Amino acid sequence: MDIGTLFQLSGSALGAEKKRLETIAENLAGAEVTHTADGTPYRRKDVVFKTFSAHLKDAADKNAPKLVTAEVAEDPRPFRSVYMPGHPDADADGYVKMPNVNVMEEMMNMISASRSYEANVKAIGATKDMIRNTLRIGE
Amino acid sequence: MPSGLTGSETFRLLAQVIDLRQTAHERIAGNLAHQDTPGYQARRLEFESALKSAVGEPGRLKPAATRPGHIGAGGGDAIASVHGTETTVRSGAGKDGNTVSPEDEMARLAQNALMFDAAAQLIGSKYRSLKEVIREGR
Repeated sequence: MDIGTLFQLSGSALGAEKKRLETIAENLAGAEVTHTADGTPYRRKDVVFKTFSAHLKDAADKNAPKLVTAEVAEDPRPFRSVYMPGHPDADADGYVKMPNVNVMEEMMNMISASRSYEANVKAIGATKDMIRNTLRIGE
Repeated sequence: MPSGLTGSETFRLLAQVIDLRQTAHERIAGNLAHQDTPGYQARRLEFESALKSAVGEPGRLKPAATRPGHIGAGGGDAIASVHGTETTVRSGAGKDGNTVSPEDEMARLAQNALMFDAAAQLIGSKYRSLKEVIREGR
């Protein structure tokens, strides 16, 4: 692996973790949204981390470095039903379908994502320091 | 065996250490990047003991290799031929099958970078001593 690929690898992980944080922010923002554009409550989104080859020619090589990407998928869990008869979106029995977002879960995910992000920032910093120290040999 | 100003065993050893530490760093950075990828198995590069045995015990006499065919001729190649062994961590998998332990990787990252810097500084100071000799200490 050359140094450029190493930066690419840590960088791709930063991008994926950022995507995860964005999704969490979206979920938190939509946690109470009962009426989206198509009239249904907000459905929680989650990311799935996947690997892909840094170079097209490496696609078949199992040992070649693999970069990280995050794909957004919808959470299939059912909506919560809350009894709120006065709510404009309430059904005949007075129940409102609320988004399937659990704020506690999102907060926990958020901490995990930002820690992973930090770890990759540290890895990039260490790579940079190592290169700099190599360049200082002979000074 | 290469000789001359920069062909000494120390130089070759330090250069090899830098090389191996960089590869180890690549593995660690890769593990950190994949800490949330389902099914990913952490990778390690182990080379310390192999390098130690290639260098030999300090103070032990080595048989002199005076001809190319002698056993031990090209002892420097023993150092250069240490590439370490790649292992995959299979234990400690979470529910998603990922075996990366971020704490462990961060500790390894710090230790590996420190050892890399140590080798780089030692090479640097070897060059400085050479320079000192070339300038006749002036």
